[in-house]
Parts: sequence; structure tokens; C-alpha cells
Amino acid sequence: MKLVLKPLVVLLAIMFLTAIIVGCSNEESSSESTGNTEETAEAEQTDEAEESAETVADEMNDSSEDAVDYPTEPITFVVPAGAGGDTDLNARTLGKYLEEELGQPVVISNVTGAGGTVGAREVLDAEADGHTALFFHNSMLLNKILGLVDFSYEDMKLAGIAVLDQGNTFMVSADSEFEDLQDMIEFASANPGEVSIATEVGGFTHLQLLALEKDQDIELNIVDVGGAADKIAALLGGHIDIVPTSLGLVTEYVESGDMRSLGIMAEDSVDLMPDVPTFKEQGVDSSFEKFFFLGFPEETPDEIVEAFSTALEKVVNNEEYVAEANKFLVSPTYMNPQEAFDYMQETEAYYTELSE
Amino acid sequence: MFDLFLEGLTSVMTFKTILFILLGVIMGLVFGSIPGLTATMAIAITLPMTFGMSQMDGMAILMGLYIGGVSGGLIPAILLKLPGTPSSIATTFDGYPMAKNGEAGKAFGYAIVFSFLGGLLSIFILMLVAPPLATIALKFGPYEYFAITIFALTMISSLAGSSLVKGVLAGLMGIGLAMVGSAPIDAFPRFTFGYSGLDAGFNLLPVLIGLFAVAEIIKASERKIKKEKSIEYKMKGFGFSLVDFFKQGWNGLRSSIIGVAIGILPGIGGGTANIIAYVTAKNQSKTPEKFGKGIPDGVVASESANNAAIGGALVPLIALGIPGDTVTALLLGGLVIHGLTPGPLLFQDNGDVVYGIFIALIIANVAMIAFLYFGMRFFTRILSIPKYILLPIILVLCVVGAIGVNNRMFDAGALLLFGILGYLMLKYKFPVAPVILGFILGPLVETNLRRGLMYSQGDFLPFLTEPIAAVFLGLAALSIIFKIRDNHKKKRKKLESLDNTNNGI
Amino acid sequence: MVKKYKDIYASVFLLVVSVIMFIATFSIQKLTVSKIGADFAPKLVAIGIFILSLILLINTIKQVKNPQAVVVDNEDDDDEKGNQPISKLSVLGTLGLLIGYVALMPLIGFPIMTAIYLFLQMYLLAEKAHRNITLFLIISVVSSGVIYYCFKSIFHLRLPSGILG
Repeated sequence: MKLVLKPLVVLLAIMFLTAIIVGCSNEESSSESTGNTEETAEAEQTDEAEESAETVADEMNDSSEDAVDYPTEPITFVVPAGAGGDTDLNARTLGKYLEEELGQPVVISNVTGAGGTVGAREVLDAEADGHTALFFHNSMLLNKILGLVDFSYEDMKLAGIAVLDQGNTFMVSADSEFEDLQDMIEFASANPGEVSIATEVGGFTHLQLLALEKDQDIELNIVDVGGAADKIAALLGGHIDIVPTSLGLVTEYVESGDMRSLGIMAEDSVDLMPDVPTFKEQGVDSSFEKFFFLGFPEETPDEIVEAFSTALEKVVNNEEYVAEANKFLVSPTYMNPQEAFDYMQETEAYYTELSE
Repeated sequence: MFDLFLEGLTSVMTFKTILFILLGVIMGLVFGSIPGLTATMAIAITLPMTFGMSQMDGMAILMGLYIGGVSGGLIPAILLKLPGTPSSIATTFDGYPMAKNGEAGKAFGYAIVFSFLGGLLSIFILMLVAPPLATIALKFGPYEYFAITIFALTMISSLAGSSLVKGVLAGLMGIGLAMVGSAPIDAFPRFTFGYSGLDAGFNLLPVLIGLFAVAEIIKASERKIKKEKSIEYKMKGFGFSLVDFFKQGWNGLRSSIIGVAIGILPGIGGGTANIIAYVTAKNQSKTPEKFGKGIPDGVVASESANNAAIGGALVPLIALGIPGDTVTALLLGGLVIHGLTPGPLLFQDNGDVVYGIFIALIIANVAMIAFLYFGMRFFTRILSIPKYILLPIILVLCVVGAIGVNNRMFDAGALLLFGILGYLMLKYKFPVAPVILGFILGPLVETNLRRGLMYSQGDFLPFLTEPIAAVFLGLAALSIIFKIRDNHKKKRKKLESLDNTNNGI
Repeated sequence: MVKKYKDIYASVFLLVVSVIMFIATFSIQKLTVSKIGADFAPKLVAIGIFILSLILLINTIKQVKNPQAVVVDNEDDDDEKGNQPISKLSVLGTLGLLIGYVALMPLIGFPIMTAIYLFLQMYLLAEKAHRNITLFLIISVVSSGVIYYCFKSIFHLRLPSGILG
């Protein structure tokens, strides 16, 4: 009995103690501040002066923080992907500039696992005070379509889209027999299942392959090789014929002469990569854009989302940021919450159609 | 090459850069030496702080952290039987018994010197032959990975302790635990029982720290702890003679090579390198029965392998831009943010920075051995803090580390769960190390088996006909056959001796 | 002697686990296209655990029935410190503390729970003669505060602040 009682008593004692400590520290700070005003008041010697000082302070508060007091603490970007990948890189680059705009640190928190669903769920369940945001991409839509989760972008408050990556490409090794996309398609239709092509099952690239197979009525050997880095290794090691990836991730290998691009899946040729032909030009009707969006938990107040979105717009139009992002061949593009919602809805419909 | 070396040397040899390396090493050692906090976490936390620094300074501090973080783990491993990081699991096997025999100083001496040598060797390998080695590593596809991980799994049998059956059971439990969460490739949930928190499965760090550290802390609560008399450890130099050193030469070299080799292969990583080197040392030893009771060979094998894995893991990163584990993935991110794109052109375009990194690694390695050598006396004094104060604080840090892995409370719960499991395993005399091996290697075996079958479109044959794969599968088969024969022999011997004694009565 | 019964408990427990595992594998979805689906390896592991724990069970029963053949287990119980008996109550107390600590942390917050946990755990672990309440209190509060401050404010780790936040 004693053994049980004692800790209980102690526990209570501690709770009291902490309560007292907390209380004290509050009191201290409040008494300090009142002490300060008293001092100034004494120095000013007049009540009027004190009053006017207060009103001035109030006004300053009002004007500087446009109704919402946000952000008041560091903002966490939950990135549902590992550190070092392109999602992480885009989040960090954007975060660096947003930090300046918002006046609070932006902390990148990598929450990996289960195709990004763990990180996304983390944000849905987070406190809706605008200090936890999700930075994610197309897989948000795919995870819902594939039935991995039962939530999607509609269950969040979108803050907008920040970055578009139009460099979704098929890479082959430099000594590949496929000179262009048509070469590959011809070979594939003559030899069904012979061309091996890498993907992550259920990922963005998987969808691209399904689209291609549908559009050209060919059969490819779709092989899961893992994430972006694994894909590069598989292609360099000669284990696979084609790797769909983002051009920005492989520029180094193109320059070194290890890989070639068969084209990008963009609507029109992209300014950042003028020499690369599009799939459309080569007779394949398939276009994909990777988008990176930011979202908050559903109950987040509109004013906060607005404040954030405004800051986001400023950053995306910041030339310095654009220049830095362009180095990885992605295009910062701002869409406001409504535009982003419409864009994602449209994209979702397209994806659903493809994966059926 | 020599020009580049000089260029790199001049870019590192500034007061500020060296200061950053030292700072990195110290912080790394602190993180490494606290169970639950790891090199990965230290680097993840520091990475954003390097954005404002110059390329060289940023890389300097990160390399310092990497070396320090991996090396720091040996301190609690030897003193408290708690592995500070995944890389120092095997160090506890013999390091702690040595300390209990009053040889903590000697254990530190071996651990520090061979950490240094293993690290240095791997850095030289990285400097001299990274590109060709990386090209060889690229030849490893799913068939080869499958075979090599199967071979590594057979190592479980040598970690089994007194009962082979229990060892293999523990290994299977590890594999089973790793299956919780999304399946590889198609991401279907397994063993989540509808609880979405389990979707991502268990993370290695809570599993490891739970099984090894939390379990030990629960075990410590079995008895009231008295204030122990602080033991004065004799410490003269590194605690061993030149003859002793040369006796360990081959062991250290072999373990370093194992460390480098495992480090190079993406995915397997430092957490297994030390265990596999330990097992190899035990199997090759003339006195395998002394392992686990405080033999320096065990400490040497573990510590030279884990530091050698650093250079190994950097090989594919620097040469090809392919990260092999979480630490190198973070470093890749760091390089890119500093405007360097790792890949085949890195040597060509940024040779000065690459050589700067090499030199920073060497300096960090030297700083590591210096700090640890002069710190030895200080570390042993940690033991004079009563354990009833030390252990709860370590536990809190384990919880912090677990939360920090993925920024989720879930991992703190997992940490506890595995702490309890580890404690039960201790009580029921199941070996714990095979769980870790199974946990790390199991998913690799499955993923690569299924990937391989996708490549071959359902054909099993390539697993046996690809030469590298065939060799490793053959080795695996041999290793199992030997172990079973060994086991039979031992049993027969024991029975015979029993018969003799019975006859004697 | 106790050890053998322990092995029986353990093997029976693992038998049950393996059966549950095997049943659970049937609810794993699988793509019809791939030969080896997500359920293949789990089934294999479940069967493996079943067979091995069965072997363990049979071996142990054999040993219990035929104590002569028991190979003396001279694997030393490493941390046998003196003759002090193991206190199950103390172990259960620690487990309770740990579970309470982690379970209440999201509600009450890291700093308070840590201070409470540290204090109680030290109190529980220490020999009566060494129980120094003031020292423990100071250490608990200070280390909790230092750890919280370091990781939350300097390293931006998301530790729950709870009612203090």
C-alpha cells in the first residue's frame, strides 16, 4: 500500500509545485510589465501621456498585423517524403524565402511512410492554427484514387499551388537503341512486354505509363525499382531500359553523357528546357505536370490561410526565388486557393479516368 | 589529382572551417553518445543552419557531425550496455563485459583506435577508388541484393547464443515486425488491423532503442539501485601494447573492408555492418567461445566496421549522386542546396569542394580520436552519477529521439512497446540482436525478391543463374549447412560428456 | 528448472502469434497480376515461426520429462548483483510510469510530464537510503526544462507542449 501511496502523494506534490512555478512565472512577467509601465508613467509624470502612449501602441499593433496575429511561432512544413528528394528540396527552397516574408522560421519536418499518407494524415490531425502545413504533390490525389486513404485535398484548406514541374520525362541510357519516343513505341508494339520501364507502383510515374500504354496500345514490362535515386541507379547499372523521372533530377547525367531524354510530357515546349521535344510533338497524347501544393487542416481560419497565401504569392513572384528554383528545372507558379482547388479537381478527374 | 588535393586543402585550412569541423565532431559525439539521438538526427537538425554558410563550411560541419555521430555511440555501448546509435550494437556485446571486468579503459582504447583506423581506411578508399567501386555497386540489381541479404540473414545463426532455435525465432520475429505497415511495392497495408497509425510500420530507431536501451532500463528497475562506488579505471595511453595492436591487425582490416562494402551497397547501411563484422570475427576466431564475455576482438570488429561504413556510404553519393541511407540522403540534400549536384560530374566541376570534403573527413577523423582520447577519463566519470539518476534521463532522451525520427508521438509508443518486448526477451532468454538483423534485412529480401520477379516477369531462374547472385546464395547455403553440422557436433559432445559423467557416478 | 517452463510459455505464446499472423495474412489485399503478392512473405514467416516454436516446445517438453539429458545451462545471469531478489512490483511500477508518461504527454505536454516522470522514476529506482527528494526535484525540473528548451526552441523538434503551450 505504502509503495503505491507514496508516489501518488509525490505526484500530487509535484503537480502543485509545477502549478506554482507556472503561476509564479506568469505573475512575475505580468508584474514586471506593469512595473515597467508604472516607471514610464512616473517618468512622464502625467496620466494623459500614459493614455496616449497606450493608444499609440494599440494602433501600432493594429496596423502592423492586419487583424490576424499570424504567424506567432515557427511554421512547420510537413513533407511526406524523405530528406534529399525533390519534394524535400522544393519545400526547403520555398521555405527559405517564405521565412523572410512571414518573419517566422519555416521548419521542414519529413514524415515519411506509406506513400505519403502518413504525413498527410499528420497535417489533417494537426492543430488548425496555420502553423502546420502540408507540402505535397500529385500523390495526394493518387492515394485517394487507389484507395489507400479516404481523404484528399477536399478535406483540407488549400493555401495554393507554389511550384510546377513540367519536366516529366523518360530517360534512357546514352547507349540505348531508342533514339526517340517513336523508336521505343515501335519496338514495344512489335515486342509486347519486352521494354522494361521503371516505376513506383501507385506513384505518379505509374500513371504516366498507364497513360502511354492506353494511348499507344502497347504493352510494357512495368517494374518497380523504388524511389528517384533507385531509378537513377537502375538505369546507370543497366538493369532497366527506360526510367520516367523529373528532368531536374538527372541534368547532371545528361551533361555527363550517361543518359538521354526521350522527351517531356508537357503541353508545349518548356522555356526552361527548350531543346527537349515534347511527347505531343512525337505523336503521343499525354501530358503531365507535377504540382507542389500547400494545405492546412480543414478548420484553419480563412484569414490565416489568406495571410499565408498572400505571402506565398509574394515569394513565388520573387525573382531571386524563381532563379534558384529554375536551377532544378521547376517553374514557380502561384495559384490561389480557389484556382488550386479547380486545378486539382480537374487533374483528379483525368487521373481517375486513366486508372480505371 | 594532386593539384585538386592541394586546392581542397587550402579551402579547408582556414580557421573558421576547421572550427566548424571541430564543432561538428563535438556535436556529433554528443548526439551519438546519447541513446536515441543519432547522427541522422544531428545532421537533419543542423542542415537548415548550414544554408547561410559557405559551401565549404557547410560541408565541413556536416562531415564532422557524420564522423562524430557514428563514433560517439561507443561510449554508452561500453559503459552502460546501451548502444548510442544503431552502428554500435555489436560494441555492447564485448565492450560492456570488458568494462565490467574492469577493462573499460582498454575497451575504449581499442574502440577509439580502430574507429579511427577503420574510418581513415574508408576515407582513403573513397578518395582513391570511388568511381570504379561505385560502378561495381551499380551492377547489383534485385537478384544480387536478394542473394546478398539472404546470405546476411544466415548470420543470425551465429548470433543465436545458446539455442539456435531461439535465435532463428528471434530473427523471424524481426522480419515479421518489419512487415507491419505498407507492403513494399504495392503499398497494401499488412498487420495494421485497421489502425492507420500503423500504416508506415515501425521505424528502425524506436525498435532498436526500445529493444536495447529501454529494455535495459526496465531490467535495471528489478532491483533498487545503490550508489555504486566509483571505480577508478586504469588508463595508460590506449591501454594496449603494440603486440596487442598487431594481433588485431587482420581483424581490424577485415572488419573495415566489410564495413566499406556494406556501406557502398545502398540500403543495408551501418546498422548491420557492425553486426556482420562482429559475426565474421567470431566465426573466424580460434576462440569463438570467448566472444560475448569481454574479448577485445569483438570491440575491434564492431568499431572498425561502423566507421568504415561512413566512407563506404559516401562512395555512391560522391561518385554517382546516389544516396545509400538516410544520412547520405540528407547530405545529398545539403549538397544540392549548396549548389552542388552530386553525380558523375561532381569531381570534374567541383573538384576542389570534393577534395575539401575528403580533407574535412580526415580532419574530423583526427579530431574524433583526439576528443575521445582526452575525453576517456571524463566519460568513465559519467558512471559516478548514480544510475537511478542517469537511467531516467537517458530514457527521456530516448523518447525525444523517437519522436524526432518522424515527428510523431506514435514512435514514442512504439519505443515503449519494443522496450517491453526486449525486456520479455531478456527474461525468456531470447537473443535480441537477431531481431534487428531480421528487421533490417527482411524487407530488403522481400522487396528484392518481388522486384526481381517483376524484372524477369515471374521467372525464378535468374536468381540462380546471375553469377553474383548465385555465389551469394551458394555461400548462404554453405553457411547454413556448416551451422547445422556444428550444432549437431556440439550437442553430441555435450551428450557424450554427460554420459561420461553419468557413468562416473 | 524455471527456465524450462519459461520456454514452454514462450513457445506456446509464439505458436498462438504465428496462427494469428497466418490468419491475418488472408485479409491482405493482393494484385492479381503478380505471382508473389503482399501476402506471400508474411505467410512464409508465420509458418516459419510456427514450425520453430513447435520444435522449441517439443524439445523443452522432452527436457522436462527427461531431466538427465538436460545440458546444464551455464550461461551466466550477467547482472546478478548480490542476493537482492527481483522486485516484480518495481518493474511493474516502472512500466506503469513509462506508459503513463508517453500516454499523457500529448495532453499534458512534454515539460510537465517529463519532470513528473523523472522524479517518480528516480524515486522508484533509488535505494531508500539514497532517496533525496530535494535533489531529485531539482534534477527533474531542471533537466526537463533544459531538454525541452534545447529540442523545441533550438532544434525545432515538435515536442508536445500541452497545457503549457
